[in-house]
Amino acid sequence: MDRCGSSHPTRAWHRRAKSTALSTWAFLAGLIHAQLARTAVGDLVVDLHADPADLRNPLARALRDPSLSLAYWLPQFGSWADQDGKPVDLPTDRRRVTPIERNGAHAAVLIHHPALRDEPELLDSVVAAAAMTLETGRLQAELHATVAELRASRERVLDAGQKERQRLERDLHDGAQQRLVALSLSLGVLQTKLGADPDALVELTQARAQIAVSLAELRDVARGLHPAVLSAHGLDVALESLAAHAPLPVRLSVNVDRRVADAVEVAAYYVVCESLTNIGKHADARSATVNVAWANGEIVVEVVDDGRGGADSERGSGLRGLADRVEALGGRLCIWTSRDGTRVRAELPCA
Amino acid sequence: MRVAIAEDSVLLREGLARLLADAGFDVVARCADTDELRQALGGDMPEVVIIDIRLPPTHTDEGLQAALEIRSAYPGTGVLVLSQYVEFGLAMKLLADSAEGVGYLLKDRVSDIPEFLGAVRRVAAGGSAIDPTIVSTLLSRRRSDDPLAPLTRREREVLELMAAGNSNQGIADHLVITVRAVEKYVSSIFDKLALPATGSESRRVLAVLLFLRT
Repeated sequence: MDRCGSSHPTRAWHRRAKSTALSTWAFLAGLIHAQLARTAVGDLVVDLHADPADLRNPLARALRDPSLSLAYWLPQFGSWADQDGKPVDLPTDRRRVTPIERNGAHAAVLIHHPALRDEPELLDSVVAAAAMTLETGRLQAELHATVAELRASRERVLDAGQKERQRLERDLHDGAQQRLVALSLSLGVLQTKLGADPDALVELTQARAQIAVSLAELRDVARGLHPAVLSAHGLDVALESLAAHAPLPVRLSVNVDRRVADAVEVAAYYVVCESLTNIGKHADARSATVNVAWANGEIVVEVVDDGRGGADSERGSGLRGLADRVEALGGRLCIWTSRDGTRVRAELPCA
Repeated sequence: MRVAIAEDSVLLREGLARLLADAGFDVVARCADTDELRQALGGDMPEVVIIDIRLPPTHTDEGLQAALEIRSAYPGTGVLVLSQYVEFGLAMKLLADSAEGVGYLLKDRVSDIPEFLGAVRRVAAGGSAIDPTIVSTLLSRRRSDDPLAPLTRREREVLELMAAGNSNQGIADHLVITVRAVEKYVSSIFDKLALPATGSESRRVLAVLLFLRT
């Protein structure tokens, strides 16, 4: 027997005829088969036993309402949510909503065609048959929602940290660094006007040298806080500089024809930066290849070396940190390592 | 010699202007952002424009964009870009296919006045001034197959000064040797690295940087 129903009324239902009158008629016509409805409840029990995770489809079949949806009450979030834990707004038309309670409290609602109101027995028996499984579904929805919430909060923490580092870099640039350059310029001018006093000249030269050292140190601190070149000029320019600084020859290819979210650019940059640093420190490699490309809504970063392998994201805190950064953006970091070298691959969604 | 300045830090802008005026330059514009610079550059172009790479409103790439615009619209005007950081990637973008009339220096360099003025004059005259840290970073990379291995210590020094945009005379002054000796070193370097002779002093800057990048 075809439980979905391939008879004429249900096909009309599927097409979602715009005329409510017509669809209501079609629905009632479907319910004429009372025997069919009773069997549907029996089938529902079988279906739920087979796959307790899929609740909506068996319920839709049993109630012969393809538009049916489920919403679970998540007390922790104070909201209704679908099977995946995503928030759901209940329809204002109360005839479309059948609440399901458990231990005297909200557990879930069925959102259905208003005509089902005329079939309270069918609704009751279907709801009773599904009650146990509904609680499992609700817990699942709650779990999904909790995971989503955790992911979002991890993203927010990372983002706030990044913004703060960016602000500090900017403050250093516009404050201390700028003033030191101006001071150093004044000393330079003074030096040209000083004439031939050798002692004074030595002292001035020393003072300028000290400022130069301070500026170099500040530059390192600032660069460590945030790679300004990245936010200003994008991945290709920033990675070209990284490759030029790398302790070994790097073949670099960047195919990213657009700017993407700051967090994604920063993550891609650090994947390359950290990988090249690791290669320089541990891999004993002769060369490395860096490929960065945008395709199908994600940026894929690959860093490959021909060294002796041994990279491990669980031991090195650097790689673990990278994995955290990538995963917080919903991406994946994979590392393959053998005696012929190491491949680090990060996939960063940037939709 | 006419010069325009675009720098948002008042201290530095006025310091630079005074320094250049004292050295006999005619400072025709002192601008705090690229809008002011564009207005100032409407008529008679100066020989050289000095631009801070980070300028308002976003302090990201406004200075670089202005530098690139001037380079393409007014090839006769030299552009000297100043920055708190020098980035190899940006040097490559700025040079694109020619190092003629372009400079890219750390802001710190302004304090060595004779050297800095030399760089401004060189860029104004169509030469180049590339920050020595760019070249020294490229040279300091530890590599198993060092392509610079055949060079003598002296030749490396000459290479470094050459890549920074110095003329043969400039290199001779730095190393306290004769121009003739510099010429010999230069031709020996080009031979050993199998680089095609370029003739022009700014064209060899790009050739050496591209060679060092690989």
